[in-house]
Amino acid sequence: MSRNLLASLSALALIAVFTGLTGCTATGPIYQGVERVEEGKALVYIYRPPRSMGSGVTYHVHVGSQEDDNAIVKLQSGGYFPYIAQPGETEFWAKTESTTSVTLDLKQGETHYIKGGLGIGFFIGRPKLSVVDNSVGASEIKECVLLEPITTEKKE
Amino acid sequence: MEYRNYNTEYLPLSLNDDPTYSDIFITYQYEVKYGIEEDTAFDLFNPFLIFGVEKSEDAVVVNGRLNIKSGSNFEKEYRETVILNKSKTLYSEGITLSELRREGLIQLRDKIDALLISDKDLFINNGISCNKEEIKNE
Repeated sequence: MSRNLLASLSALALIAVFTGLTGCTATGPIYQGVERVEEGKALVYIYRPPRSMGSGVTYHVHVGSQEDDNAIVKLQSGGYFPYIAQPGETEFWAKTESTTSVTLDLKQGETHYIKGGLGIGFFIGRPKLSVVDNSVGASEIKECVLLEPITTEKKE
Repeated sequence: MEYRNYNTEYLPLSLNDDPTYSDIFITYQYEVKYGIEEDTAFDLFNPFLIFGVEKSEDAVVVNGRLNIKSGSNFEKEYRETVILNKSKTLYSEGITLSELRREGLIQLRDKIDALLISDKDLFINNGISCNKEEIKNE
């Protein structure tokens, strides 16, 4: 009896670990580039290629100071989000048990790609944001689907 | 002075944008490249991570260029590179890439400042007066 219980618990633990490691990828419209960016603005694609490892862990990507809670998208594995930004020195960051951030000098009319990933953490996966070359970003983002922006209502 | 980036904190301190000296043209620009090493599935089963062994390393490379031209035939260009790395363990990710970028840009600024100060005589000989804080046309 106790042997059966142990086997059941082991199976449940395995399922939990597997779900945490693999989870599910984002669903939505397949990638389509932004055709036209408003005059005087910059375009930043934030994306996370679909990977089996750690896809169950998602995190919010924020823009601006870390004191402000300005989340723009919940970044899921296999998802992307086009962010239209004001030109200027701009920080993008995300946090789980640790914080990751990258800063870009955004200039009007320019396009940048920020790639999200997940690293190994102590209790939970750690978010990773990195700036990639436009050629790499433009190629990798094609396998991603559009994510919804975070609206004020969703934050609350 | 031509500076296409936004944060003036990264400008060499010796430079002074004074519109009354219209025959000196100064261009300062920098470029930042991020290099990131991703964790692999192998790391999940690496027992040494428990002991604080480094799991991966990120880098920031900052290239800077300063060009100074005076109305005469004088032209001087400086190019400098700063490379900064940070290692990550299971217990700490270290500073963020934004902080590493800032540190790189400050180091770049200071390196170029040091070169400007060491070339003080060259500027004076070419009709550009210098002191520790600024470079101006005489």
